[in-house]
Amino acid sequence: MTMSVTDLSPDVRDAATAFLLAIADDEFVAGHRFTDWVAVGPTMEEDNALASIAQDELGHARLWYEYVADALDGDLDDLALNRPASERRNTVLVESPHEDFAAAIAVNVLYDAAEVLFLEALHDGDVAEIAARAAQALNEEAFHREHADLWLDRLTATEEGRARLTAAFQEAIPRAADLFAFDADRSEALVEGGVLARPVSDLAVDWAATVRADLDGSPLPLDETLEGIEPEGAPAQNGRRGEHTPALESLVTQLHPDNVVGDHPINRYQP
Amino acid sequence: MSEANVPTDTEAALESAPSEERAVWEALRTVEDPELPVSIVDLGLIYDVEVRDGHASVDLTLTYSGCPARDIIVQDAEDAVLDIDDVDDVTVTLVHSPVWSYERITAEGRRRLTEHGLAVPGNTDAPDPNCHE
Repeated sequence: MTMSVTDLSPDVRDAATAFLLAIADDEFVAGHRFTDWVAVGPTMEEDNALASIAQDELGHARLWYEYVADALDGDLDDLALNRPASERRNTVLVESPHEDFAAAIAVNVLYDAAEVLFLEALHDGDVAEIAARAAQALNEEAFHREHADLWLDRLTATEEGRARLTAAFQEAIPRAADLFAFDADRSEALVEGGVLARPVSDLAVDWAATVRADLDGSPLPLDETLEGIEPEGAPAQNGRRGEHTPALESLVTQLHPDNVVGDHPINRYQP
Repeated sequence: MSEANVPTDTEAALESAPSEERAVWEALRTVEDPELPVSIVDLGLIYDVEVRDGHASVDLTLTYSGCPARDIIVQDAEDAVLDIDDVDDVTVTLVHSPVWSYERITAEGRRRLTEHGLAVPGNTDAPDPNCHE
């Protein structure tokens, strides 16, 4: 059964707007961090690949921010650029700067596995406007997963690569604990209302299985870290509730240098 | 517009369009993707054209979601359609479904892309991409 956003009850519509704003924040912050690699990637080919992934994620952010801007009668640029860290609902997984190339690959593995699951559940949902946007984003995610898989193979081929990847995953996996930690009542409303084809808790279980499958076969000593993944456990820090690391604050500050003059969207920012 | 109505064959859609809509298709054919010397019609980005009482509506998609040329393409499309004598105003709507794919590129679009050194997947006429000759 296909329906339109206007067919949703006000409660479900609000829950969808909040959920998609969190997804948009994920995409925006993840994309922003990948842009840090522009012109400093390990090879020219990889520089292009990371820049392209960054562009895709920012494009997905725009798809969802536009939806939210429509729903709230808001402004696309204000949503993306001018919200303080405390109002953002992205997972803390994506907000740290990538201190090492292995950190970029760890985020690529962990975040894109989750993003695909969110997009599939939205695409298989009943709301036409949302499913169409998810279809376009999903089309591009296969490349991101492939990129992650190829680099896992390459980096695990050397001792240095294994050491750096292991450190990156040990640091990133605990931060991924809030990926699916959305408000339970609202998540249920999204499934009952037809916005999501599957419960968020099911996506969490699938994500843990995907990550274990990606890493179990690798020669990385991550058994203990992987055992620590509790798909339905309560995260120590939950970005879905606005609990963020200082890294997000510094990202938002970086977006607002004080030397931009004129009628630029960032000059509407009120910290 | 429902997904089922989106033309899979742009060339055929253009041929069978009533004359005032064909004028819009022809105007859109003058708009190129800023990144490629190929018209947005030949790239298969136009999903629907309608003209009613001097008002033109165009449904347009993009090849990928992060397309940085988006605002330029929409603006160029609006300008081109407004240049038509019988058109008073135009609405260009960006649509996301069905997802664009290489199959939508017309024969002319494939020829132009090949000339530009880009091979459309499945195009056996494209030169062998051997960089080491």
